[in-house]
Amino acid sequence: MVFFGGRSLVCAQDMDPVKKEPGVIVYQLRVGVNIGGFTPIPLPAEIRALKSFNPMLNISIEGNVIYWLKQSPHSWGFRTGIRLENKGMKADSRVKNYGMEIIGGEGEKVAGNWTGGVSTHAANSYITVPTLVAYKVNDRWSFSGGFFWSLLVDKNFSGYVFDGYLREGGPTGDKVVFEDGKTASYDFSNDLRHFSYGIQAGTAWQISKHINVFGDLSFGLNDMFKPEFKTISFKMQPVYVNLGAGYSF
Amino acid sequence: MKNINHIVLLIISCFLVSCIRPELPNAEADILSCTVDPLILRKDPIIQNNRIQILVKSSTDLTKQAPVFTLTPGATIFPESGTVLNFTKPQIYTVTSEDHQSTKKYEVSYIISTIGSKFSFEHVRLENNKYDVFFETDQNNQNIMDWASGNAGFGLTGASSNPEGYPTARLAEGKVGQGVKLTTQSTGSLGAIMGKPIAAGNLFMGEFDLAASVSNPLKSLHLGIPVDLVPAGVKGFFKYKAGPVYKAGGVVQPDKKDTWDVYAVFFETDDALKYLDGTNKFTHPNIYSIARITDVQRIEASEWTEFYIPFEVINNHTIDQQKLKDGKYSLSLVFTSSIDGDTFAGAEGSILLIDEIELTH
Repeated sequence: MVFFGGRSLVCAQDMDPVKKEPGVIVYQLRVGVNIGGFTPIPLPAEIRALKSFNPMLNISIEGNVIYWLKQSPHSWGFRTGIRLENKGMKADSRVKNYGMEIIGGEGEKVAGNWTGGVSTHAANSYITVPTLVAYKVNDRWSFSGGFFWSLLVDKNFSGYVFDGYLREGGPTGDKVVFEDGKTASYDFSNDLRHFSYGIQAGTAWQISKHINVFGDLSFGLNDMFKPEFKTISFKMQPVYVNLGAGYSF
Repeated sequence: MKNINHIVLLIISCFLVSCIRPELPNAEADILSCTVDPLILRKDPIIQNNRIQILVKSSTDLTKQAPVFTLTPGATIFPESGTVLNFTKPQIYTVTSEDHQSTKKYEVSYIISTIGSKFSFEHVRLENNKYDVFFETDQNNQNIMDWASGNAGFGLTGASSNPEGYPTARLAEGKVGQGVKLTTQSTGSLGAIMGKPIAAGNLFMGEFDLAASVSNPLKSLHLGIPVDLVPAGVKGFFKYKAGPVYKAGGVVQPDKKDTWDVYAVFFETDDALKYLDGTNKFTHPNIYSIARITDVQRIEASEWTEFYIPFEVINNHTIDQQKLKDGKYSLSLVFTSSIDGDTFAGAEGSILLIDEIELTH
């Protein structure tokens, strides 16, 4: 929608060339990595510590188009494109009294409160369309901010609980201890939402006429899990930094 | 690139660490320990999720007892720990969690009576609205012993929504009145994930330690309750039918057939040994005698069949009569519908029915 708005602005300028400078369209190819994780914001009090974190190697490739309103050094603009990206993480945390419910393959339901270690492995692939407003400060620096819209194409969200105990049904329920390497695993990959969106803001620094390096920070705004999914009681959102280099044609 | 990776990782970790919220007050409301004058005890207090049973000598004055409790940190208890109360009937204590969101009621009983020698299984209650628990009563109809079983562990798998589907359940048509039905059950997908694909139906004198059942299943069987007689044998009535498909660890074994087991162990308790468990139930040096069904007697039967197993003395120590009176000797009587159920080998659908069990002495 932002892109089409830009197009009609170009037409207006053609009819009245004296009053405004012509805009510039730039095509760009970007390659980068995503570093970050899926987390509830803010961290709920049930999460007591992060014991280990592995950001993994998450690649992103983006083709985008920017329309700068003016050619002069300062200019506003609009940017959109298509990004193929991976977002993943491996994290071990320690939780206390963390309410959860596991559904077995035959419909059995076990609900309770877990205190102990939780190990999570997430690895998702998305097709993402960013829609952004950009501002060029000078020949070197530019900033951008706006929304992104993602479609989940490949997914994994699994892990296991370890070194702790479960209180069945609630904090005063029967207690079962998991120690000496005993674990219970979970796989919530099929409970992930297909469509997600969020906000993105970033900056780019032009190294040469064609090449830039960039950093974008993105926050997912909707829960990564489907609304029917009650096992994880808080909203899990992706928070990622996308760092890389771009080539403008 | 790697340096940037490390820097960003550090920033993210700092971000997340600084975002850790203050710890919430404790939500649990447990009695962690119960302390009573050790001179009056026949056995250490049995603490379960909602119940504490304190087995005391017959000379104990039940009208004025003051058990002392330790609780989950921050929790409070009413009546207060150390309050002198009349325990001729059980007393109810209410524990409130530190965060005030949960309360748990404990029924605390002092039990003087020792178990009798005849067990007809006429007394059973529904526990947690989920499964059956058999118990013995004295002449005042007070509960003096719960029969233990693996039902609480089976309850965790969510594999059955009614008591009849549990491994240990009441049998309406016993030999006389009600009896016990022990069925080897599948634990469903959740049990299989935990490496415990079947649960044998079992019934034993002692306690089932649910907390240890996942990490250390052999140690979750606490075998033995104090007795004041030296048993000579066990007799009773049974019916048995093995299930059709024998599996060990989930793998079918076509040439093996499931069978049942009943055994009893009479042993001395001391400071080092409070109860036997799955690792030492036949081998501990404190054992005086063992009674166990033989392969010849271990048959299938569709009619009520009597069995009798005598106690064979293993370690011929002298029986100390004063210790016997003080409850320092314990007995465990164990029934199971799959003899190797401890190691998750057996056939789904194996059923052992028992009734009218008697200890001879």
